[in-house]
Amino acid sequence: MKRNKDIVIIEQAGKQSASAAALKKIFTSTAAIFIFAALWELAARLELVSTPAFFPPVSRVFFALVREAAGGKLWINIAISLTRSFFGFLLGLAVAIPLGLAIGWFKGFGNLVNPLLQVFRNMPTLALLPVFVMFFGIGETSKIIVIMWGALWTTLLNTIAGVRSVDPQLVKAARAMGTGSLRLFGSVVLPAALPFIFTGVRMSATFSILILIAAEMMGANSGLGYAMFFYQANFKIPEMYAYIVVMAIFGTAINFVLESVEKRSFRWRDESGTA
Amino acid sequence: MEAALGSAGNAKIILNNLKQVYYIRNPGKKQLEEFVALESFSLSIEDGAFVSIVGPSGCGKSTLLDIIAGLTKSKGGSITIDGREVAGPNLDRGFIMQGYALFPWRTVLRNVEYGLEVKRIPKKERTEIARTYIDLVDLNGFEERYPNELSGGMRQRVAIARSLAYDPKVLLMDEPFAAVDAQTRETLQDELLKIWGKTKKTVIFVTHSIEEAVLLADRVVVMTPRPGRIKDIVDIRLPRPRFNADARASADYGVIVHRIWELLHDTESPETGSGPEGAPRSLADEITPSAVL
Repeated sequence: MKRNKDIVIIEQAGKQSASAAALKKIFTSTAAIFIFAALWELAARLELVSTPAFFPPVSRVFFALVREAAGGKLWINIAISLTRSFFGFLLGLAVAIPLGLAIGWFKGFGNLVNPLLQVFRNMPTLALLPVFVMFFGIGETSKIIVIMWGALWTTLLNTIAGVRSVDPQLVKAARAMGTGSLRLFGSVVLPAALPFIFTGVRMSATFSILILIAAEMMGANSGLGYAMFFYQANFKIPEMYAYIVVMAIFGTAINFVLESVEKRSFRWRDESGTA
Repeated sequence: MEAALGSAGNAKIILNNLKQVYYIRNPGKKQLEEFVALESFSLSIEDGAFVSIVGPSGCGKSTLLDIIAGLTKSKGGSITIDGREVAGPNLDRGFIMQGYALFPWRTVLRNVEYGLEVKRIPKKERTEIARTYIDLVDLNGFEERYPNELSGGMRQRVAIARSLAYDPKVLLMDEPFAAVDAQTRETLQDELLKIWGKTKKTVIFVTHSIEEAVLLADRVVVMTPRPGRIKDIVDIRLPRPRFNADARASADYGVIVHRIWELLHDTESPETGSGPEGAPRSLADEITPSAVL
């Protein structure tokens, strides 16, 4: 919904002036959102929903958001949530990338741990939260651990896939030049796997936020997920929606940042890299 | 092939009785089946020579190059280069493949530098050497491009520059021009001949194309289908320096191409019709397919 804007615009941009093109780009990339907001507002005002109390117009949600921001609560909640998901995410990468490289590179090790990974991977992450709470208490640690767990898998699987999909011709070429195992790994396997790893990292970031929100709803006294849950319980519906909107923006922003880093870093990957 | 072994005085590379065997598991059978890819392959190559190897698909040509490169161990026989037995891959041999095998995340310059990094040559010198070879293959101005921004012919030039940069004594080329179009191929052949004239490398060149083999080489080794053995070695006495335009116009060229074509098609007596006066049998025979199998 948020990223298909670049595709269409480029071919049309030729004839128009740069500013007109820029305007049009902004329009196309936001039109759907504004239309959606307008429909929302309209539907709520006309009370098209059977329980209007649960469905405030978007303008009221917006003002609730402004109040939360002005009162400072919003920023505190964002900061808390960001910190939790960031540490959980980093911890997840710290486990997933080295483990994935080892599993992908050492076949025997991979075969050995693979059945275990399959079992672990299919455990619902949130089902483990009570377990983590038992071991690490109800404080920050258990939340960070559960985020780590949830964020880990896509990066791990992508890293394994990346290492295993290295073009054997490249390995052959490097070996023919007398490259030793260590250099082979560092100069061929790792760079070849990097785009895969990065895609995994980007998906892990998204997961870390999803898990975070759920974890905060299940047991916390701060953070975006908690705030949303709190307002729902206290029947402050516009505020509840405001936090849902914030979470969506939060996730989109992080994905957007990582996507642009990805695009910039892997220029060599456009079209087919090797023959 | 006995003749080939002969005077080892200035032999650069001696391939002695090489054998390669693979084991294949057939469905339904318990025992592994032996598949002989290469057998009693002996050849001695003098310093600076250009040897082409032609043969039908699956005759073990590429296996042979892998063994010489040190990438696979043979099941028998030995290889010596400058009197030293080959134990594994080394920078004294350059290996050029059909698929270029350029590192897509490295620019042209950094690709060419790769072997020099393995050789632990300091950065500044490395760049200098790499630029020299990029120049040699006519790619100056493309140093900062990535392989995906280049055409097939240009990529293969980068691969050649990469192999030449660390100054190997021997170049092993495994159907290097098979993936490019006919015109680019001829250009690359001419350039390879020019570069070979300048650098004096010993070249072993595996190809499917008889014409390519004849155009480039001093000697063409013709192999039999599995197991791969040497069927015959044909000396190419066409004048040097050679170019596509001149060589193709000469009568001798056509005759040699035809003779190798006959050898590959299992004509019993390779001597008939080999002399310049031996008239080609028909026009159809004269038009040699450029790639047999």
